[in-house]
Amino acid sequence: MTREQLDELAALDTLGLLDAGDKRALEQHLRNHPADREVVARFSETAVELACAVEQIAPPPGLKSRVMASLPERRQAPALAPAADEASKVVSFRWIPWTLAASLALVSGLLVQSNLRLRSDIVALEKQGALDNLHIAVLSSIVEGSPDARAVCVWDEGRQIGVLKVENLPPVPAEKAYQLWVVDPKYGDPVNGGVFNTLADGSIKYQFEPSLPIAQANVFAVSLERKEGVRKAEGPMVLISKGP
Amino acid sequence: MPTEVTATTSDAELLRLSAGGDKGAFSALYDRFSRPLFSLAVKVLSNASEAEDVVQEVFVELWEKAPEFDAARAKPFTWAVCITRNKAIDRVRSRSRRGAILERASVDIADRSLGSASVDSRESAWFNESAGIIREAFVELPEDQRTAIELAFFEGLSQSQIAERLSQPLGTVKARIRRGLSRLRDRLAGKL
Repeated sequence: MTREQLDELAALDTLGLLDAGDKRALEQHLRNHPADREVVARFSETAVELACAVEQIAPPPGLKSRVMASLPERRQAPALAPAADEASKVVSFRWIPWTLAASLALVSGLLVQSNLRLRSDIVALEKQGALDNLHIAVLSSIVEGSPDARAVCVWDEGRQIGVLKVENLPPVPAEKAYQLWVVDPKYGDPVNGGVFNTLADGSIKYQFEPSLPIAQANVFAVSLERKEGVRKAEGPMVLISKGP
Repeated sequence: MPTEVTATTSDAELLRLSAGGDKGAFSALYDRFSRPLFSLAVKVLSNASEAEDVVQEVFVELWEKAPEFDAARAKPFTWAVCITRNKAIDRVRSRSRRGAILERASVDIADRSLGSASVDSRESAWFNESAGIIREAFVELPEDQRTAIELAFFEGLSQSQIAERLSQPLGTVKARIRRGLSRLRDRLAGKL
């Protein structure tokens, strides 16, 4: 598929104009060329911006109260992030930008190696430009009871999303959760990255989006908190990465 | 306890808080999104009353599906726009009075717009500035490209319907849409 053909299919797809055959062709192409998802994403963003091009009209004042009154009550207040068994489903790599997924796959395999070796491998990859625009951090255990716990975090500053892959960290009881923190010198306190729990084997792949924009992710840390999470870390720190 | 929401709280965070049942966060999200979504619905439907219904349905859907929202897949605003457009176009397609669809916003819309919803002034200023940039870039597109995109995006016409409306071959319509969106994308790059 030429670039022009890809642009055409992406543009038409964005506007919902593709017939079934062309849609399949585009999806097949994207499976084989995941980097081209960026092309589709950019067209999609552009199309959405069209919504802002129309003459702006304020909604009638009474609409907001009608909307708020019509919201159904939540059956139960979910935690800040999915529970462990759900999280493994939610963290579908289908929707993780391919660069992030590819990089995580790349460095995850290195988790079996010593952290020291892992760090040197990451430095080497960074020098090769293989991890451009991505920040990789290795988190080590600081808990005596789980010395083998470790994690690797891939952070995409441009997209403001990241993925944390954890191993050998025992799952916590239902009333507790692990909470991820991102230390950015711009803020006085670590920024909340959401809560998660690990699976029975101590592993989890957790996709996160910090609660505030991150300009400089210096350190990633995981603490043990209440299941709904906390605004400032209160519990013991269990995993932490080295500073810059 | 509801979380404190400020002007710097991201859309994604508001949606995440909404997923947890925080109606204050959802109220703030309404303030940010309702104006462009209502405007889009009016543009598609050419009818303010129907646009109100659509926007109400959209926000209820946003509330109900907030726990399923995947930030890696789309931005909250992108998601909201897609829902709004789809719902509005579904209504358009279900109408029998096709001619009425093509009428542009009428006087009652102008009257309604006098009663402005509460929108944070900083958000509003940013949005107005962005909207101006987008409008300018859109208007600068060649008319044939702009028309093809408008028929697809705002009226929900299919490729063949656009080709028939414009009396142009299908290939020409596709090329116009591709060129128009590509040009718009390039003109907006780095400006918003």
